Amino acid sequence: MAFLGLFITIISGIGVVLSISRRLKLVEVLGLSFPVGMGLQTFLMVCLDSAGIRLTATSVFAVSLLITAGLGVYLYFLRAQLKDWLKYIGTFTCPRITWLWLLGLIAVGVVVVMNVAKTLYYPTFDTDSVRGFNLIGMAVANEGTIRGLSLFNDANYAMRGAGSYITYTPLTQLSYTYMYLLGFETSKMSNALFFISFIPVFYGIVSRFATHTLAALTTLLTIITPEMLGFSSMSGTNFIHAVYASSGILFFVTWYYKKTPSFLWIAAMLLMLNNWTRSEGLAFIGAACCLLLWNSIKIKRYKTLVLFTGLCLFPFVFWNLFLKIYNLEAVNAVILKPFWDSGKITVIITEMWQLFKAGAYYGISFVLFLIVFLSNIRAIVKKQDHAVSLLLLLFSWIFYTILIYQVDYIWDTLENVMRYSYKRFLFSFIPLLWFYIAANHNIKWLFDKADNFLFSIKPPANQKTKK
Amino acid sequence: MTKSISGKKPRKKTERSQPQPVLQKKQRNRIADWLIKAFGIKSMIMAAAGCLLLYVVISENKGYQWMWTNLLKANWNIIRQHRNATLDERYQMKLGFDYVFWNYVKQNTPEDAVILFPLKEYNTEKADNRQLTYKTNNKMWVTHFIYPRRMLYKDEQDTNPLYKEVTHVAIIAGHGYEDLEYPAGNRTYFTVLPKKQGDNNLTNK
Repeated sequence: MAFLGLFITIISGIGVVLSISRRLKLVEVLGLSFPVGMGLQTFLMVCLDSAGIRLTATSVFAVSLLITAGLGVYLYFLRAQLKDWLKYIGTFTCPRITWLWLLGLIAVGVVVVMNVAKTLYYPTFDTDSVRGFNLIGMAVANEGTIRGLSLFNDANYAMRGAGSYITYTPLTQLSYTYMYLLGFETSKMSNALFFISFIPVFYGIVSRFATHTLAALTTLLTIITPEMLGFSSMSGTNFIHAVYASSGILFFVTWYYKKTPSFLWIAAMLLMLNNWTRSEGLAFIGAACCLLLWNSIKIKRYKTLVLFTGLCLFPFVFWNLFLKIYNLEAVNAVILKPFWDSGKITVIITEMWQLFKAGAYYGISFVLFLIVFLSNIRAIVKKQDHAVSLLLLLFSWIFYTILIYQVDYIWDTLENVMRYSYKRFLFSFIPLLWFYIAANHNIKWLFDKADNFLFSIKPPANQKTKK
Repeated sequence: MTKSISGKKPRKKTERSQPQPVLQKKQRNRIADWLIKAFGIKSMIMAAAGCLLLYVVISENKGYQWMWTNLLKANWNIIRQHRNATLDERYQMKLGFDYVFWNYVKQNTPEDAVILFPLKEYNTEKADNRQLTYKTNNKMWVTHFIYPRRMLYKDEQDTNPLYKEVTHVAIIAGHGYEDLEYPAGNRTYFTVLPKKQGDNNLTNK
């Protein structure tokens, strides 16, 4: 039952992904299948609960089977395009692989095996999950309801305070519920699968912009980011959020540079799920919408912008509506009016600087990004090399910092929020930093040269004579 | 039909009589060429240089050292040494005596129990060489391990209506006996007892 449930989730994920785009690589489709399938599953669980149907293994399983069958029918009508996709992934040209590529992938494999073993071996023990996400997941599986959950409604648990777990959008919690409903001893299978899924997606996207050797090395350096790897084996929301947010932004970048329209909708779906995981995901949506607005103004067409924004914001609106309808609202700690607090700004900047310069948390990610960025300034100014990737990074970082600034921390100190929450939120930026490091003009040129040297490819004669 | 010089009919060549090579010579050369390029000496030099650079960068950084030594290697060794550990044992590895006590409370109370914990200041007191951590003072932490049982602290006796429904008392570091409605005989430092004498229906057992 447990593995059949996971299989259905993966199949439904593949169904959704292929319904949206038939231009993805096989590794990307396989990598996206679990995160997207789980997103769909959790959304269906909230819908079932809203309809007054008890959340049991049978009810959840029956509905997901029904939806998967529906997707199957839809894909049947797209069979001609699916055949084209099969041809597209079938025309496999052997990549220029090297020893470094092989060693990089072996190292990725070693890290994955060791980390997944750790994830599955230890049950949930980290603070936020024990007293929040995993507890809620376990309780929903036991009581079969979200809106009537004792933890939310019993005054004994005081779940209505500012910053309480009730305010978190429910993907992580409900993915744990799903694991408990399927009969797993702990909910950690969900974390393990999110970690495994991220690797092919990231590798697939980076290899669209860089050589396979560089993609393998970048994937390795991304996943061994110390603090992020440590948290990927725990039950918090941060790594799961990083998977959705970074993949969403990277597909947005791929849409922009590779001009494949369907990637914009893959990005929209992933950014939607990023917001279904954490409300702060609005920062990434804001950044993508700003770039899309600029693009829309350029081409003077706004339909795509409206649809994209609407889709991305849907989970946030849907969840808050759900909380309002079932009277599950908590104290709102967000200050909606603009204000000036120099003390707060000083604390944010000081703590942020401490995080950036602490190599122990993020390894060489920030330092190398800075070096590569500075060395690439000429290409950025002259050719706008990956300007969109950089702007997305900058905007989402600014938007998130503004969000942090606009919250009234009555339940904790700002220093603590910066040292713990902000530190973990930066996980979403790590894959984006490494993507830029791999895809920028200078590094790409260096690895292209190395590839050409290895495979003895001479530049065409007309290029040779050019000066 | 053509005849051979000897006048005999030429034998029809069948696949069986003359097997085709699996790969054409040209194709074979291409694959060999590709293999040499991909895994030849130049590739080896590049890999060695890359690995050396990565090693230097990674070994100089405390975070990567911690990641490899403490996070991956140390846990891998623990997992290999205790591969048959039960879920309870794995919880104990991470949470120690906290988990032992909470689990004891869970095992010895019915699912509908309302458990009174002593004043928060007593919950981390050392007794009999054992001590609970600050986590016991967080209601949600404890609830995770005793769910669906409910709990409250004695600090809440005037504010929490659940105080009237208390069915069990958690004894921590010898505190809590004063809340029992009967004189306890054999006193231990850490246990859970029914509030009223003989009122311990373990409906979940």
